Amino acid sequence: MSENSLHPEELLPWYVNNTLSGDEREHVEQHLTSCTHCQQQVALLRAIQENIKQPLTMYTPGELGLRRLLRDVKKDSRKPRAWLPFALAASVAVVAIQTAVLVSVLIPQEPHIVPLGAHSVSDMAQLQVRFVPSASEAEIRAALNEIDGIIVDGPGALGIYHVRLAAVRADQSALIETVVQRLRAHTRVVQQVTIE
Amino acid sequence: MDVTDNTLLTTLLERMARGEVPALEAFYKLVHTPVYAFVLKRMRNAADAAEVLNEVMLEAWRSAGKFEGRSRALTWVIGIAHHKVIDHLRKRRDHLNEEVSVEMPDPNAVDMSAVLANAGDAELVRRCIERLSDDHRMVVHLAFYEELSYSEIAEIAESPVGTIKTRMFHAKQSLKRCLGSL
Repeated sequence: MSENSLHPEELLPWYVNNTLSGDEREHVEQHLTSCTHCQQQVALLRAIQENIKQPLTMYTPGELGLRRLLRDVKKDSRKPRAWLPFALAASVAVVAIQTAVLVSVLIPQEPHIVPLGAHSVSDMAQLQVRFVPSASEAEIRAALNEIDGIIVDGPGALGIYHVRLAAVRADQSALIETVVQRLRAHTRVVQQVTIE
Repeated sequence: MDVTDNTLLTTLLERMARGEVPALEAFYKLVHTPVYAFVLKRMRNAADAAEVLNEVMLEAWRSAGKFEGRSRALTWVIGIAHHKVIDHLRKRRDHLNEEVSVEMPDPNAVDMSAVLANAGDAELVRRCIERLSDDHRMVVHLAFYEELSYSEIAEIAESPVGTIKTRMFHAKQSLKRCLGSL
C-alpha cells in the first residue's frame, strides 16, 4: 500500500478518527470531493466507529480489582531482596535464636491446652462467595456473623472470597446446605455462593 | 478527572515512581476501564482479562520510573497491556492471527448498500469484529474506540507505521466481507 496510490484508502480510518496531520487531512478531503468509492469507505468506517463506541455492558473488576492490586503491591514490597548478603541473613538468624532463648527464660509459658474434640482448620467446611458490589462492610459482616463465617482468602480476579465455616465440618453436607441457603437469603449482600 | 488528561496521568506516574500508593489508586481509577476494554477485546474472556489487568497495573507500578513522557501516558500503559496479552495468548496457544474461518464473499464484490445497512447495526458490527484476527481486532479497537493515531498504535504494537496501515486496510476488507455476508 502506497500513499501515492490512486485512492488514499490507508489514510481513511485515521481521517475518520480525526488523527491525521494537516497535510494528510487536506489530501484526503480533496480526494473525497470527487471519489464515490472512498466516500463509501468513509461512510462504512464512520458506521463502524459509531457502533464500536456504543456503550457496552461491560463489568470491569472495578473496586475489587483495585483492592486486589493494592494487596499485591503490599506483598510485593515485603519480598526479601535477592541481594541480601549471607552475613546479614546469618546475623538476623542469630538474633532470632537469642530472642527465643530469652523469651523462654523470662516469660512463664502457659500450659498447652487442647480443647476436647478440637478439629483442625482443614476439616472445616469452606464456601466460595461473591458479594454484591454495593454491599457495605457492615452488611457483609452481619451476613457472615450469622453463619459463623470467616473470610480466609480473596478476593480473586473475579471478586470471589473463600469463607470458612467455623462451626461446620466439611463432612456435614446437610448443615452446609442449610448455611448456603441462609447466606443466599441475603439477596442484597450475597450475589453467589458455591461449596468448595 | 479525565482519562484523556495526559498531564494528570503523567504526574500520577511520577508520584507512583516515588512509591506513592494513593497515586496508584488514582491512576487505576482513571485508566482501568479503557485498559480492561482493550484487554477484554483480545482475551475474549472476563476472568482472563481481569487477571491481565492486574498484571498490567502491577507492571505500571513497578515501571513508573521508566516512563519518559515520549508518548502519552495512556498509550504507554496500553503498550504494557499489549505485551501482557500476547504472553497470555501464547500460553493459551490461541491462534493469534487466524481469522475465524467462515465462507465469505470477495470484499470487492460485495453489495455496498447491504454492507452499509448492516454496519448501522451495533450487534452485527461487534459480531464481525469478533471474527477478526487478534492483530486486526487490536488495530480496529485502538483506532476507533481509543481514537489513537497510526503512530501511537505503531508504538504500542512495536511495528512499523506501514504495517499498522496495512493491518487496518485488511481489517476493513474483512469487516466489509463479513457485513456483506450477513
